[in-house]
Amino acid sequence: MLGDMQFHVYSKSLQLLLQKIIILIYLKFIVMRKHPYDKLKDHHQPKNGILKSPINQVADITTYSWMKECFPDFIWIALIIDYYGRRPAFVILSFIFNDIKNMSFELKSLQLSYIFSLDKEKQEEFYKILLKHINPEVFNPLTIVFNNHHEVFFKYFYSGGMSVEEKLMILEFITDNYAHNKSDGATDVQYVILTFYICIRQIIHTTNNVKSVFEGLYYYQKTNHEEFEMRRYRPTVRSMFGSVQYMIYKHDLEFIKLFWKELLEIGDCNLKYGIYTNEYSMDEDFIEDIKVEFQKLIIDNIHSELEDSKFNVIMGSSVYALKIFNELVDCNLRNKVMGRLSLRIIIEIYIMLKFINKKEDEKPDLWEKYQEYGLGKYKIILIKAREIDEFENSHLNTELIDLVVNEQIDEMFQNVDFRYFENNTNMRDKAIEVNEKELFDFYYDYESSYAHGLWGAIRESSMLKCTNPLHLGHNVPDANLNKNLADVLPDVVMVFKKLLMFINENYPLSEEFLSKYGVKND
Amino acid sequence: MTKNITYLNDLQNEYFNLIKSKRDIIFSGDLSLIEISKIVEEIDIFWRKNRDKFLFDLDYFTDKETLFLAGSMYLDLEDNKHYYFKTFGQEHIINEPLLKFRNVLNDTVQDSFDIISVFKRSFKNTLKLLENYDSYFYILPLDYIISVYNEELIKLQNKIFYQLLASIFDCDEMLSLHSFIEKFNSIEEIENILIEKDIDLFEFDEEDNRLSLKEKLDKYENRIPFDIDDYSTRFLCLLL
Repeated sequence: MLGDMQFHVYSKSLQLLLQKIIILIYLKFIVMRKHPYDKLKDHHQPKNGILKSPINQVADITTYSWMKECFPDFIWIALIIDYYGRRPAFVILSFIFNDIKNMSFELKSLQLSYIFSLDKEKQEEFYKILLKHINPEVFNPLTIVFNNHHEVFFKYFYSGGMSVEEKLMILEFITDNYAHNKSDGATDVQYVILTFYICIRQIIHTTNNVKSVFEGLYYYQKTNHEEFEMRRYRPTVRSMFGSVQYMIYKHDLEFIKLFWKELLEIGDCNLKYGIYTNEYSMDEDFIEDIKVEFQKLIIDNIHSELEDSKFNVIMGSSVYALKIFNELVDCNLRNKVMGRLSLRIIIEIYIMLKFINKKEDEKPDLWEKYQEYGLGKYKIILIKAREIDEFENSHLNTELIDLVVNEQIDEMFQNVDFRYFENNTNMRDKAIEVNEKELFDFYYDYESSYAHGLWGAIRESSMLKCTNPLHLGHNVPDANLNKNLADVLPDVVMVFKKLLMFINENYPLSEEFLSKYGVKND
Repeated sequence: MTKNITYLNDLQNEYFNLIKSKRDIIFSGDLSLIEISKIVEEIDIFWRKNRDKFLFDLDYFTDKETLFLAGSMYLDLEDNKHYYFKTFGQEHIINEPLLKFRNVLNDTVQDSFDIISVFKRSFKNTLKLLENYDSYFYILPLDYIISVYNEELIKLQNKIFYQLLASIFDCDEMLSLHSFIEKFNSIEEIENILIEKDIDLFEFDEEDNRLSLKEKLDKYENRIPFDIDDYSTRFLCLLL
């Protein structure tokens, strides 16, 4: 019998050990990826203008925030747990619940908003029960939020000797440890709420696996969070709370708003931002050497034809890209918003040149068409400007634009042709055509947010994160312009080298230059 | 660009209305320390809620000769002390006189002197100041501004502190907590240097001179608001 027992114990230990190993491997896998379905292939094609997340493809889910919308109502439970420690607090709360059963009225909810809605006598009856079991200073921190308009609560729980700063520190600590939905603290609070509804309100939740649920609830209070078994009990509590809370919880938006508004106003913002330092260093002669190479190309090719559209477009555009590159370095824009725009422009020029070059065989005069297209865009500005004629102190010089537009051909004979460069193909299509899809998908699209002032770019560049837990992770505009951005120079150099490679294919650069800067075709 | 007041004047009015609303409680005859504590807390919360506004307007004073009255409990208007203060400088700021009472409302100080009558006098003075001399003085919580927002002051304090440490421990300039911890492998090393230099630290009662440095750090660890296992770090925090 003993031998059998020993074998049985040994094998159960081994079983538990194997279980632990499997769970640890599984958890490690989950931790490595933030979500199980987080790649492009997990998202279907956009439909009716919406790219749905994988979860929302199953059903449109309404999310709620435990922290923002529920926690304020139950912060008092968190204060008790934190003050006394977890297990003593569960005992104290069980005594409180016992006394609640004998109250003169039925307490329907543990939500503070509900308690505050009760008349004075009922509130007092409840607070007296609380004070029978807890020290009034437990709720003292809440009196900075609930004061003038919550006279009864304030009367029972305000006590001197704790400064506003100390109260805020306690509330910050409590929020940090009990307000995040998946935290151990939040699960403790949810456990207490569940207990109230099971034991006091006697709402019974049916489940297919009742034994494991009750085991989870029973052992939850007796088990420390560090113990292995809690990895079973915590999910039981969370999932049970999640399924029941829609039945039992009534959002009081006014209460929630008041709570967070008071704390937002009283507590200091703790604004955090990092400052990027630049580790990448570019060869200081790079730009000067490019200028020399370009000058040589111009000398070698400028007189070969009276008007070589291809050469003019390639070299003119490349010089424009070089100007931008130079300004990026000269004006120290590497870590600035304008640096992002610089990269985007250089990418666009590179892709456009490659595209026209590729289409050259189909349409040999495409280089000329490109120039006409560009001038056509200027013509549109000019003809519109003439209708308003109000550009006295503006950089928009209509006389200059007039000169540019009418330089080669009188504008009366110029059409504006959108076909080759707008109507039939966009920048993404062009990038795919010239095997530069990744360049477009990541770098160009990312910088497009900066070019258009979309919220992602604004959040990244112009908003500061507040880390005060009482401020719900809000962001504050960076009015003092403190923040900078990651260095864009390495990527600009990468793209410019691609541009140089392209130029080299059409107008060879010197071998010395190419090998000095590692410019070579893939 | 000339700096103008944007919020301060309205703030002074709101502050005046707030303390005026407490007049009846203050002079009711049964004013208690708890009531004072509640009022002081309400004033504290008022300033905290409006800190962005008065901080914004601090710029107004940067190009003006501004005098601060700090330290004393109140500007004694009955003795016409305000005239001396007003004589010099262009602008005059008085450190919020009532917030000072938040620190005296704890058990150790309560019995020292009659807080209630001092508070009443300060309150009356502040009310009079705001009623009759609102255009001459600005009342602002200077202690709060300095302690929460003066990063340069805090950095300077840290710099002085670490320089002092460097001179005690005879080493090259110690710039940070990290370099201090790296320097000493154990608390006994630190203790040996203090003994050599005949420096006694953390002796808050008679028995402490018989304890080792480690024992003293264990005894007084609750003076540090958070738990620290490392003794070198605990040493620095307690010293600070």
